Formats: sequence, C-alpha cells, structure tokens
Amino acid sequence: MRTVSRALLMVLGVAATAVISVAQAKVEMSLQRPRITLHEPVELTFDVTNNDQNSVQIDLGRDRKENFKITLTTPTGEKIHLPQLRKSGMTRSPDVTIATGENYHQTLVLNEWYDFKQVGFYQIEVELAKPALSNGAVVAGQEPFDLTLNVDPRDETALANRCESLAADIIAFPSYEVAAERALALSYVNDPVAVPYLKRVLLANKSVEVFAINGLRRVATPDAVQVLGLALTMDYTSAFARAALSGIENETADPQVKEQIRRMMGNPIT
Amino acid sequence: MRYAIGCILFPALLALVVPGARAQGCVLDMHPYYSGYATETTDFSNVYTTVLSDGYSTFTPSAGCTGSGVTHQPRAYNVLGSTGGWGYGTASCITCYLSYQNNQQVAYNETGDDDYPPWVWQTEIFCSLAGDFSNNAPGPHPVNFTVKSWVDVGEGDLHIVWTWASSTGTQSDLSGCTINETVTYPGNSPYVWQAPFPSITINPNPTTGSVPGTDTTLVDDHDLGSPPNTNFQKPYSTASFNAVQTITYSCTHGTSTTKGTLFGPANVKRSINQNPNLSWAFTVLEIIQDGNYLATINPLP
Repeated sequence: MRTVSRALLMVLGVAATAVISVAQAKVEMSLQRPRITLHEPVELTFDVTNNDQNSVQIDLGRDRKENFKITLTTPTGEKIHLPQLRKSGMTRSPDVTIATGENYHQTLVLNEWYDFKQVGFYQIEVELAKPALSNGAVVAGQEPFDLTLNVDPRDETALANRCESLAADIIAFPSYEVAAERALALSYVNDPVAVPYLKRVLLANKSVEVFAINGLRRVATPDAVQVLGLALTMDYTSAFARAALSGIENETADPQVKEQIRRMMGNPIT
Repeated sequence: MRYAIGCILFPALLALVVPGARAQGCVLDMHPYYSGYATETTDFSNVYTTVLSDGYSTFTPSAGCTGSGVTHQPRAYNVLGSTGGWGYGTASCITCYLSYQNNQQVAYNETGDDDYPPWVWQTEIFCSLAGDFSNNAPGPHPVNFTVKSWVDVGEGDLHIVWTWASSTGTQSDLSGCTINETVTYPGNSPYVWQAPFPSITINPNPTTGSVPGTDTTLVDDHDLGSPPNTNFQKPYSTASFNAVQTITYSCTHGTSTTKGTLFGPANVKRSINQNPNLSWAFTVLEIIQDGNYLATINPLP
C-alpha cells in the first residue's frame, strides 16, 4: 500500500511538474475565421503567454514572419511546403522578449504566403523555425499546429461585410499596429468589392496608405485604377501609386485599363 | 538635404454650441475641414521652417444663427530656436477658404545631424463667435533616431539596427506612430539591376517598409534580395548605382496626424571595383552621421 502510495505520489509529482512546465510558457496559433468565403483574407492569430519566472525570448525572423514555416494541403489534395517569407529593407526586429506574466500577440495574414483561390477544404500546418526560449532552454513552440480552413464560394455580401469591418477598425485606429494588421488583411481582399473600402482607407489619413495602394494594385480593375489616380495626386502616395499603376500596366491584358493608365500617368486627376 | 514634414488634419464633424448665443437658440451646425502643415528644410546654409494653416468649413444656418458677420481667422505659430512666434492670417467668412503661412529661417550650424535648432509649431483657427476651436499641436513622436549597431552579415548584406525613443519618454505613447522607409532606385518601376550586378528586380520601385512606433528597434537589411542573389555577371567591370533612402515617421493621435523625417535622404551606394591584385569586389555603402557603414563581397567569385 505504501509502495502504491509512493508510486502514485511520484506519478502525481511528474504530472504536476509537466503541468507546471507546460504552463511556464505557451504558444498558441489559431485561425481567426476557420470558415470564410472566397477572396476573404485568411488571418492567423499567434500568441505567446509567459507564466515563467524568467523572461521568454523568441526569434520570429525578418519582419517577425520569416520563422513561421507553413505547409498546406489544398482542396485537390496537393501538399505544398511554402517558402519562408523573407523581406529585404526595413523590417520589425525579429527578437521578441516577453516579460513574466505578459502576453505577445500578433496577427499574420496567410495570403502573404499563399493565394487561397480555390473553394474547398484546406489543411494548414504552421510551426516555428525557432522555439521560445528561457535562459537558453526551450520552453514552448516546438510542436506544429494543425489548422483547418473552409473556403466557401464567393459571396459579395460576406465580402462587403468583412471589408466594412476591417475598414472600420482601421479608421477607429486603436493603434498603428492594429490598423496596419487590418489594412494588410484588407489589401488581400482580391476582389472588386474591396475597392470602395480601400479608397476610404487611402483617404482616411491613418498612415496605412501604402497597404491600400498594394490592395488596389492587386484588384487592378478600372475602378481600382481610378482610385490609384487619386493617390497619384497626393504628395505622400504619388510615387507608390505611380509604381502600382506601372505594375498594372505591365501585367494587365485589358487594353482599356492600359489606356486608362496611360492617360492618367500623362495627365493626373486634379 | 534634410527635411521634415508635419501635418494636422481636422476632417471631423464639429457641432458647436456657442454658450453666449445658446439663449438665443444659436446652434452652429458646422463641419470644419482645416489642416495644419509644417515643413523643415535645410540647404546647409540656413534651416527653413514653414507652418501653414488652411481649410474651410461648411455651415448650415439655423434659427437665430445666420452666421452673418461671423469670421474665421487662420493662425500659425512657428518658433525656430529663438526666432519667430504667432502669425495671423486674414479673417474671413465661415465658409471661406482660408490660408496663412508663417515662415522662419535661421543659420545652419553644421556640427552634426542632430544639431538643428529646437522647433515648435502649432496651428489654430480663431472664430469671432466661438474662439479657438482647432487648436492643435504635434502629439508624441519618435526622437533620438540613431544607429544602435550594424554588421556585415555576409552575402552582401549590410544589416543595420536603428533605435529611437518617444518625445514624451514613454514608448507606449507612440502607439499611434509608425516609422517608414522609402528606398527609390534610379529608374522606372520595376527597376532591374544591370550587369555586372546580379539581375535583381526591384518591384515596386520605390520600396517601402514600416514598423510600429512602439517597437524600440528596427532592422534594415541592404541586401542582394531575399533569398540573396549573388550571381554577379561576368565580365566584371567598374560600376555603381545609388538608391536613395528616407526614413520618416507618421503619428496619428485622435484626429491629428504629424509626419516628419528621421533620416535621409541618404544614398545607399552599391559598387563593383577592381582590387590592386586585379580581383573584383562588391560593396554596399551608406553614410550615416559621417560614418561609413558597409558590407562587401571580396573577392567576387
């Protein structure tokens, strides 16, 4: 009996240790919306919670995106290891330190890695290239996260609602970081429905104009080009709008859009 | 040439209830669209600052409040070092377009990038009925933007870590701020590096990057693309080109936005030169506050 009790205590002790160990630091990833309609952005929430007595460090790579390794299985069953995202130029510092009792939160827009242009069921595996450390020891983030995403057929109402929600968050401007995350998501709504919302964000004076321009460049319809024409006349955005219009002109097969851009570049809207 | 740009915009609806007039049923239904802009430039002989207050209002008269005789006056405060002060534009009707600019200049002392004289600015609109109602000045913004460290990380990558602080001393006050870069290459968009450099396509040109102001550091990699393209094209020859980098900030606090320049415009020079032993070398160089920051591949394969 005593032996059994000791064994039980030992098991409990081990279990308790395991629980404490797990609770020291925790990495969580989830899709904000596991079911979306075609052309909605796919947003991943990344959280690190530190309940350790020491600070936790994590190296997320360039722009805090490079060290997310993503593998996905498409609706047709194709398994794709996506290249890690690595940006040149100015980026966020890769190193994040999370103090005891603190939480680190980040939203990733997975469309930066992959264009989810097929309707259907996706399996997405996300893992960190480098786990979270405390005093040099791994404390969390070693295991991959298996996520599922359903992409339903295009629905203009759903798209408009999503755009409205993102634009409202940007204009409310709780912080630049939140506005930039939402603007990045909005810029990946690769659908004509997004154009009026991108225009609203472009003109809102919330420091996220370049995201709006990138979104308009992706949509590349005559309406999107027209809004880029407005950006062409604004001091801060003019050079970016010009580059976006050049890009559309080079890539579009639509002769009307090409002509529209030529006229615009030669004679900007005033 | 260093410059700074600031602006404050007030596009929000303002429904003014004028206390002195309320007993007479005078409620102003007014939508003001006034802006404040500030710029700082130097030609290295003088430092020049301008502060512009401009805009207009829409106005719907109500019973007992026709707006007749009420005027708006643009005002701008511009003090550079110990020079300058308030300046006042012409008072005009509520819906008239107003514009007033206050200019100042002082001699430039070339003792370092941070030795510009202190500059304080503000814009406001004075209403003859309601008093000041667009009284705004720049909010918290990044200061002390400097290089924290730098390293040649190999493969032609000049890796610079920049750091900054908040004008208030509290980093979280910069939650409305972003730090941005623009790098412009010498040509159209897209811009393709020419031989003997690797064939790297810059698309779009200019490139941009941004980080939240609440971060205390950012990294800047002047590299050979991502992943790096080190396929320098033979036959090698002496060649160089400059990209121009400017780092700015933009801070939004409530309905106001302030913008300014933290660094640049500065050349990022990439060059290929022959060594005395006839081998070839690649260098990327940026001069920051009179210091040379560079990365090399020497010799080229």
